[in-house]
Amino acid sequence: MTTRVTNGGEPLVAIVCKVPLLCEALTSTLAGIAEIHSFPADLGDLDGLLRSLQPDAIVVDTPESADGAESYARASHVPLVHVLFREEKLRVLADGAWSAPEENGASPEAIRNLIVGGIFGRQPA
Amino acid sequence: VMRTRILIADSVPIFRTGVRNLLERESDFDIVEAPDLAGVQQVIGEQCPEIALIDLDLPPAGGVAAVRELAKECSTRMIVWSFDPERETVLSAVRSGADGYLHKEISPAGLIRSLRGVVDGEAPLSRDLATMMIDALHAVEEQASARERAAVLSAREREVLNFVARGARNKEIAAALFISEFTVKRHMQNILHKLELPSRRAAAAFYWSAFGPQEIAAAAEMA
Repeated sequence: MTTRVTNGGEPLVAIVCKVPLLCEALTSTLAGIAEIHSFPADLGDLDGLLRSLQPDAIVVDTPESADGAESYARASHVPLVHVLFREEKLRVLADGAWSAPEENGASPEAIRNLIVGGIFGRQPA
Repeated sequence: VMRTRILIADSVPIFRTGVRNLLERESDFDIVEAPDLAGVQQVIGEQCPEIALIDLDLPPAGGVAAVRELAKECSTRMIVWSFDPERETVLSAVRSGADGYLHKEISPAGLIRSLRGVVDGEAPLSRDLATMMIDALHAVEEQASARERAAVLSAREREVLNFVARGARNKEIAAALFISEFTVKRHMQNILHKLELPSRRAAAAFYWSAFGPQEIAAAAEMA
């Protein structure tokens, strides 16, 4: 993955949310780390949107958005974080496979850590 | 500017952080947080917030139980919120003392508007939830009226009708109650006559409307 730095010098994170308060929560948590662009979950053609925007990481909060973003995330090798509110869990698509992070709960900090790890984390040798 | 103290009672950190971030940008709100009922009680013990936004699934016993508890202790205006609220849940929250109910998918502007409305004495309830609550009230009235009608039945007739509501045939009812099929038929005729209903199917529907699935299942277990 090539990290695309925005004019502000920060990687770009796309948040596609059905729950607008998710964006509110992540805005402060990712402040100084990434630039955030948020979109409502029901926009349609999410894949096209992401290919145009070319974010460095994606956060979604519905299974439909996770499906819609998966193709771009796989092709571009960017982390895709799916927030499951009801289960209070996260799952992340990284290195081509979905996994549940060891860190419990769906806190803004846990999401931040997954994004930071996905964008800046060292690749295994 | 008069500041309104808002308590965000939610076990999910994203919601606490999201609401906090949103309201901190406004000049008229102070925010306190609690992840569970114990935390809520502690906050309320120290100083009653003007408004509490309470998650329906607040640990340990849920938001409705929390509202019931808090209504005894404090004059805080309480708003319950959740994903996909159901008719009975909204009604139950309001009956327990909640002053309103909101969707968790509410827009930031909508949430601020709702909270300011509460300060002005309004009850926050979206249109769909208001409709849902009116439906729930009607359903409660209909059930009460059906129960009143059912009071004309004898205990045995109610037993028979409970079986009918669960789709049992006369032969099965007779076997379960140790009576003859003829007696079951006589009971059915009396039931239809007393309730002024045209058919066995109508009697079953009536029984469901009066007692609902839970009571019917409970009565079946006791039989």
